[in-house]
Amino acid sequence: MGCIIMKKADLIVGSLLAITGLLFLFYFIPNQTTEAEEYGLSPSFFPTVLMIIITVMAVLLLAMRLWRHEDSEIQKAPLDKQNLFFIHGVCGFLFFSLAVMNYIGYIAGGIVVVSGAMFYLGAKSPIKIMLISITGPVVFYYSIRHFLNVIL
Amino acid sequence: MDQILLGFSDILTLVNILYIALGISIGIFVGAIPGLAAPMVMAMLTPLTFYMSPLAALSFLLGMLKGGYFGGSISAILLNTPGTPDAAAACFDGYPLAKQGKAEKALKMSLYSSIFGDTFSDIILIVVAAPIAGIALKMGPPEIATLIIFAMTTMASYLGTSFTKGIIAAALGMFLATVGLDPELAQPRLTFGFIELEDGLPITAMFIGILALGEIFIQLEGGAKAGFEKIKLSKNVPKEDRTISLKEFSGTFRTLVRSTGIGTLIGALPGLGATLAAFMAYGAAKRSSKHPEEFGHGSLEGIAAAEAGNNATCGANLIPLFTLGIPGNVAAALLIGVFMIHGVSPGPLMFEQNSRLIYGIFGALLVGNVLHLIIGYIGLKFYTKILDVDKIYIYPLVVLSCMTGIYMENNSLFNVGIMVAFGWLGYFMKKMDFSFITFIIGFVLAPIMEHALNQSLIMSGNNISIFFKRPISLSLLILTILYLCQIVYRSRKKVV
Repeated sequence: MGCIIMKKADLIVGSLLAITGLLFLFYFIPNQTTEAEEYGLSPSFFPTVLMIIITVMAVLLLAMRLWRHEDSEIQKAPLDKQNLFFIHGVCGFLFFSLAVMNYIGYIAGGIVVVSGAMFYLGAKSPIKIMLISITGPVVFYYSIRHFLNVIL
Repeated sequence: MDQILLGFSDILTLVNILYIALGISIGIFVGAIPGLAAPMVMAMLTPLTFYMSPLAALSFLLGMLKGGYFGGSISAILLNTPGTPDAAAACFDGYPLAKQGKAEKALKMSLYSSIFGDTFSDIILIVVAAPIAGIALKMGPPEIATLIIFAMTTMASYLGTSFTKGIIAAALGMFLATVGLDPELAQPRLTFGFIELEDGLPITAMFIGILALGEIFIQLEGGAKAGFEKIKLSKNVPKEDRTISLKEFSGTFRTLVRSTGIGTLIGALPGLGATLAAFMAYGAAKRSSKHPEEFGHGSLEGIAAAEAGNNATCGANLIPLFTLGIPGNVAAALLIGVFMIHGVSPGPLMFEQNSRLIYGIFGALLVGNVLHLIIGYIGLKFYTKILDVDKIYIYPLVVLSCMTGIYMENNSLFNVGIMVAFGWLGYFMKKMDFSFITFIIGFVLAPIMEHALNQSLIMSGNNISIFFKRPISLSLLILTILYLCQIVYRSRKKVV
């Protein structure tokens, strides 16, 4: 059962890569690059070759996973729903903190990042959370401003 | 000769020595914490190096790398959990020796072995780099292009468990490096209308996102699980259990030399890595030992072999970087980024155009070993206390420092967003076993390869036979094809 799970993950990744590769080859690369010159490489040549390699290898990955016999070693599922929720939740949280940095300021955004991460990791003492989430960004801000003359 | 002397004298200034010492201290500190590794912190602190001279910047980062290798063995010995993957072999004998009440002895053996291996490989680097660079200068654009193809093909198979996934990772890294302005026509390419992308995807955001943030996401996923059982350093231990005598050290001398040789050879080959070196050195030491039964039960020889082997890759890894401009591992790829940030093109021409800097770096490597010994010895007890600090406090501040480092570059939150996106990608790459190291090396080498391909075609009037007419280029292509055939043959044999 474990083998099937890893195999399924590879099939999904292979399919996504192959589809994305074809999209890039037939739509994005032609629209996002300029015309070729008379000598040397066309601007689209290198990205096109690389995307062909990615697409071909993705199809090969799919083929290998579909037709090859699995070995007896059980492979744990690399990703489950919890992992997907986690990673997208974390990235969403970081983008939110970027928005806070953009509209309020670096220190405010830093407080959001540190306090959120500490809370997620299970910090229980509100005093410790406040102390570290305020001290950290303030120390970073003033150290960088004082020593490197960079205003965040 | 004057450039050599000037280079060495450049490093012997208080500022540069302090930077090396700071780098080593940070490296040991970070390497000791399971889940954090020196290349991650090197990536995070790369933006700080903008404000340093090129020599100070590279010395600082190389110091960090040296310290990181030893730091990984601290948690391996005290927690039975390596701080870095290359310190895993140190667990076999380090932890059992520590459980016998000889933790300080184990740590000191690790330190001395690390310095021994590192110094030897630095000397090899200094001796062979210039002659090999001289040979490499005879290589033209076709040879450079085919060399990169060969190097990426071999690395895709060494790094990671699947060759197919390795090639995908390498090609993806190279593809993302094409975003920005086309190098010949200076026209936007794959920028999707974002002006911020016209300079390309920021290399430091890529490094920090993939290396640091991706790994931190994986560490954070489990939450702050319970801490490890840590062995403490006790004062109430006889002196012979806290120190390494001259007799004990000389008893491991043959092992040290053998392990250093193995580490240097493996380090010089792109893609093989310090982890492989440590395990191969350990295996060789056990086979050659008069007391193989002691291995795995607290053998000093075992610790010496593992640590000399992995540290010997430190200087040797720079051989392909300085001579061919090809990074053999993540740290070398990071250094390419730093070279480029400071306006230096890494490769054989450095010995002609920036020889003073090169010899300054060589001096930094040697001075770094002396400082590493001093800092490691004096700070041993302090560094072991790091393991008492809870993850709850470290990881949030590390995430903030990643964001701050990128933001500092040009006050661009767009770049911080790019870093988060690379963190997302790094997370999936690690989970799905796509080699992020090959990805990073591909990203770094792509502009060099495209430039070499372009120059080759201009030289030949758009005739690709140039790659087949030049002997070195043809040989490299044949080697690549033979290597691919060997991979296909092996995978078919496995299926049968």
